[in-house]
Amino acid sequence: MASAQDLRKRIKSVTNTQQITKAMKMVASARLRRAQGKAEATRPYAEKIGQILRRISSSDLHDYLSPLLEVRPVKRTCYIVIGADKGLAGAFSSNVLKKAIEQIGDKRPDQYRIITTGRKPKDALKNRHYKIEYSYSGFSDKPAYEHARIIMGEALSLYERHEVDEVIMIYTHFLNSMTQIAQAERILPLEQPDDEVKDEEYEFMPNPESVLDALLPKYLEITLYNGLLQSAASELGARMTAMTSATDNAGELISSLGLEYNKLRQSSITNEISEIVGGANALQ
Amino acid sequence: MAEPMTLTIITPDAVVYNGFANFFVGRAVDGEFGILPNHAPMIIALDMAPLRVDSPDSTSHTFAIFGGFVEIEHNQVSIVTPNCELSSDIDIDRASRAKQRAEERLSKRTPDIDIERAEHALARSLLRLKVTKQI
Repeated sequence: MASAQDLRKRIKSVTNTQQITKAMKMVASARLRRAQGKAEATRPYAEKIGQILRRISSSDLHDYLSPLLEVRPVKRTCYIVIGADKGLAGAFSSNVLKKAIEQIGDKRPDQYRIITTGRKPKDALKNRHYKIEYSYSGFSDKPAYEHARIIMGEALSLYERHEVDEVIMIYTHFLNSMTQIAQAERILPLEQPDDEVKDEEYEFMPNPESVLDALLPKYLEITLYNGLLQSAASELGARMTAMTSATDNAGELISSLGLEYNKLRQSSITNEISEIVGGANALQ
Repeated sequence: MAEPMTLTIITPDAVVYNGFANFFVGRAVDGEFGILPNHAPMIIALDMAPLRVDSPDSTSHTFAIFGGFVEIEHNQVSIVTPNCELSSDIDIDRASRAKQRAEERLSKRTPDIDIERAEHALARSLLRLKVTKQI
């Protein structure tokens, strides 16, 4: 049985922990709101790029096939694993890792290339002896478009050099702050959108082919940027949920320890009184 | 005069400009162009170049546009670009420092520098200076 002093110490330490988790919860929820706003702000851009892409696809391309749309037999695959820099976000990091490992399956090291963002997936994959081609970190909860551009640039150059034949992005889809789903999405080769919009004839300057060539990398960048933003929001959402439950658990622990401490204190007082009473009785 | 067109400039992070325009000039991959209201539907691939927009209230804005696309439909113009800066928001000192740095790197050509990246940086800083009429 713990002594009253031990219990006091534990209550104090749990209270301190609770304060920390509460602060982390507040920070995560404030950042989450910002991340959600940012994800929302990219929507007009993504929609417009998608719309232009559909317009080009439904125009006459004179049998031109962009290399980015060409489906080649898959010999090697590039995985872009988007994860977190920091832990304490519940199952967020392990879900991403699980998805990545499931996707890679039993491929030999010469059949895949891995690009990671965030420290967690990099360390975890390294510990499991996966070979990592490029890794980026330091922006997992606040990605900028520039990051997406750099990462996509590397993936594109691997693809264009025929070092890989497809690119798969593993990210976490943000549904709400309670639910996030780790997903794998093939981003290269691109799928031609088939919902054709044949309402109007568009002119292209200089010509449809070169507009398409300029557009596809932009489309990929915004897809990846969206993946980064979704993952950032998911990470913060997962952290907020984890810290909320940690704060609640600490509260429960404090109240049960408090109860135990009070019981102990009461029994020791009762003991003392009965001793005094016993002593006084013996004197009579 | 024809009814002015609505013009929106969209970047991944925000809608930078949303207003009316009587005329705008930019540079496509194959050369400069100017667009007046009621243009036929068209999609243009933009080069890294300045873009001037003349508003109906006879003011004009100049933007530095870092590539992107113009889509014209029903007198409505959308410019989607990865990055865009208004001329008055550009930090001239920073741009000229960046230009110097890039030029230095390109002239020395030490093996550890990324030439493509330095050329890109030079092009960006030149565009910024051009838009702010420093060169």
